[in-house]
Amino acid sequence: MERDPDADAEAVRRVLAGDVEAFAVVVERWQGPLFRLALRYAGERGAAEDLAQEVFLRAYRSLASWRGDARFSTWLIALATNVCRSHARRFPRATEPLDEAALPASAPEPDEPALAPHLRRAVNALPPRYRDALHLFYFHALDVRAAAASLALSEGTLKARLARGRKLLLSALAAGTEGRGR
Amino acid sequence: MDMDEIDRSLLDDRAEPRPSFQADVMRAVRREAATLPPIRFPWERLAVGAGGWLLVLALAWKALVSTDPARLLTSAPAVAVACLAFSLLVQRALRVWAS
Repeated sequence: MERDPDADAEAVRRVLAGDVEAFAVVVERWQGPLFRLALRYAGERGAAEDLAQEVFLRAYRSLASWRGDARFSTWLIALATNVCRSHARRFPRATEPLDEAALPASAPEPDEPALAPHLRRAVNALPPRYRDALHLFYFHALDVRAAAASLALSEGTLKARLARGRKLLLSALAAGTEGRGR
Repeated sequence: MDMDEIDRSLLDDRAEPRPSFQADVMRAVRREAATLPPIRFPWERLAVGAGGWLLVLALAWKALVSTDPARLLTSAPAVAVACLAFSLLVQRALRVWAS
């Protein structure tokens, strides 16, 4: 997820100077990653786009609070993570039991792997601390340090949550497979 | 299903938003930018202004009580000039702060 940080900084500087249209640069550069993060939490495209739009609006409102001492990507993804987590708290779509969520239900979108939707449902059904750890770990392409930074956790804490979360996920998926076999 | 398969599936994420997504976001951002922020009452400026005036009054009072009544007639214009200069200074500072 390495992007030219100077382009972000320049776009933010222009927006803060009053050029609203410069924000399009930020949207264009980050719409894919933020949509994919939102999709992990929201589970379906329409809700994910609404959530990603909410992230961009929050980012626009609070651009002045990015002081440039951290990378813009770190700031933006931490903000997006917070918005997605509060969305998950407000709309707990994963109230289904973990083993039921692990059963394949919805068809994958044309641009995603066949297993992704039911795996996402299974991750969403995990307790929030493990769900967040796994979502951010995969979102950051297995980069523990980046995932820990997005969640404001130490790397050790994140690793412990990942280990426990992955174990829970595996047993839920195994239970789901057994359930289907019966 | 093993962990490697799960890792591959959850990593392999190529989903993209609709092509019109960026335009929709920018429409919302423009709407947001066009909405004027609510005008707040300038309590900070009021506090600084009131503090300045209290200081001016206190200094004027101190000058008056410490002055020999016989010399009051001659020192009163100096006190008035000092008060005026101070109030101009406060106004100038507030203008710089507001800009």
